[in-house]
Amino acid sequence: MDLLNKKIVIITGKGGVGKSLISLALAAYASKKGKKVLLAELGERSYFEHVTTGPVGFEPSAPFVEWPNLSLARWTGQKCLKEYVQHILKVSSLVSLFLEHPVMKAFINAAPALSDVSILGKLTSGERDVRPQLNYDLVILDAFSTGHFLSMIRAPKGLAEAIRVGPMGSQSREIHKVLTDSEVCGFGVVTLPEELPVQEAKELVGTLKEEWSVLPDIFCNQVYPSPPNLDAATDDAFVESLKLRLAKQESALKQIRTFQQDRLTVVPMVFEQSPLEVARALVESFEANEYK
Amino acid sequence: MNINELLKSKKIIVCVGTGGVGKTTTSAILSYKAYQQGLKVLVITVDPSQRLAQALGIDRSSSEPTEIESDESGHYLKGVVVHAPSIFDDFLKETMPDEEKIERMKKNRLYVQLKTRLSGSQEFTALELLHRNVISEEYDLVVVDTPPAQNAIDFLEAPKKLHALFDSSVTKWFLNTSSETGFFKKLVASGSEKVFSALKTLTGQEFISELQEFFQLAQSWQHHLSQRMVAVQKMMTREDALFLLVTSASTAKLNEALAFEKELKREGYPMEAAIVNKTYPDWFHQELKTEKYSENLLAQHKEMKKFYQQRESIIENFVNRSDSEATFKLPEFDQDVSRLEVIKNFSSYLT
Repeated sequence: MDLLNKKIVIITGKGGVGKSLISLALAAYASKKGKKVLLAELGERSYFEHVTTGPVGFEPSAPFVEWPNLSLARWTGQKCLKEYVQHILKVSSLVSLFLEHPVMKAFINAAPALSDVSILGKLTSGERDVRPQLNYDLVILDAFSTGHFLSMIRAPKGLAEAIRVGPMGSQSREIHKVLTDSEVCGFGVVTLPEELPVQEAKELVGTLKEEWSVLPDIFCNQVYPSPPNLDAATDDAFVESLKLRLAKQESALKQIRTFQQDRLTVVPMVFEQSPLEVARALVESFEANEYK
Repeated sequence: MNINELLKSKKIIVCVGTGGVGKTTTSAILSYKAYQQGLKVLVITVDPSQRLAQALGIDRSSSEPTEIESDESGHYLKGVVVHAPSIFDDFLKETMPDEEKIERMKKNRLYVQLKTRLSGSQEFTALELLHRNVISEEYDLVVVDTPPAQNAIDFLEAPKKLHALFDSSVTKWFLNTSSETGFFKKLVASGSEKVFSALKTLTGQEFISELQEFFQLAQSWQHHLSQRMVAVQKMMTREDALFLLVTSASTAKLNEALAFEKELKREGYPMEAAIVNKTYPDWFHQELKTEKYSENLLAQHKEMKKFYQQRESIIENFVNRSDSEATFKLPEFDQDVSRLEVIKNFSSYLT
């Protein structure tokens, strides 16, 4: 099934490959096609606040005038955990007592699996029919980079193994089930047309396939256009560099095709420093290629 | 200050920065540069790609340094990868004298989860490796790469987080609140009891038993962890320890770098130097030699030139706003770091 027809899309990749901007462009593109979309980023600092003018907080907001059907939110492990514990314990005063107890605080700080599972719990709440529910046609998660991403998606299973009975155990199993349902949840891996990022993407695709039986979409970002008649051009540093770049890019794309042919999207390099301008250009390129 | 003076005046260099800015590669380049200056150098890398580990010739699953290169006068460059599980097991051996207890701990499901998944386990083990190799006094310089972090302080806070978890009051709480008949039971406030029963509701009795066993076995860790925490703190505030901020040249990354710097300064770790990676390609400062190119190619040259000109002003802005005494720049390279030769070549650009 096409990536944008799923309910949940998780975007990951090596640090610095452009995950956030590709997530934004995908979300904006899907919203332009008539979907009600939520794009969620993770962590203490907002990346998208540098792209828009408005603040991006835990409660969704729609900061882009040009993309009114697109909402943004920033989820932190702490806030998701509070919501999650509230859902199970019900009584608010007990929730505060529990989360603010110094021993629990030390425990939660040291065990990131709890926060990670809470974030995934929120992400899958619409599908699992638990409150507070997310009511969107599509939720895109701009997830952590490869290493932390893998430990995050492994967390529900790990927690379910450590806690076999009780509500936390059963919730973790349900979250894992939604994430592995390929009809509902899809994955996108962003990479660059360079040897090391492609190698890392290949390792990640291998792991996802082996552990999850999932084949993610690949987005190869910052692919240069190739001007014609390059061979005829007299050599100088610029042309040399361009030739090298194009050769490297070609071999990287060839390498990607050895592990993902059908769902490889070539994303053009945009020579712009402003992130919003880059996102706009990427939306246009998705439109031109009728990405699904 | 030039880079060689800097490398010679320090014993410890910690490369910090957000994800994807080239910290691991930069650590390798710096270490190579230092080795070329006639130093005995160790580079500690966190989670390098298979390719980079191969390029350096180091084993990803061992915590013993391997030699990358050496010369006739006895100088060498060694490398080691932070492998959290094996360092945790070493830590077990060091802190628990009892064989039987070690075996029980290794089987405890919580320990299995914790040694790979504990928040800061990578940071803690990197610091552990750093500490181990600095006190060995085998090296003139130890360069350490850090895990990608959203907050600069995450790396330094890691031992504190662990220490907080194994603090005696936490251990006592888990052991006493859960005991059905213990003497301490009477001393436990009713608030604690509520919290404990909430935990039981959330996780179930089986998990609680596992947790109890874990804390019982881990009681001996506390002393070692607090000792280690003090030692690491001391090590990091030494005159000859340097925090080196690594960033790449995009708007977002440079902003993140400034926030990092501010945070470290607030915590009392002044930033002395920064490296901006992936700045400009070699051709950027040269004129196009001939007018014989097609219009298409000229247009692309113009567009790219403008792109890097904008980048130049963004970097200049960063340098002006940064507190670092020295900012070094590395060009945007056409080559990938896939062989040691490439790292050697890159290190020649660092001046």
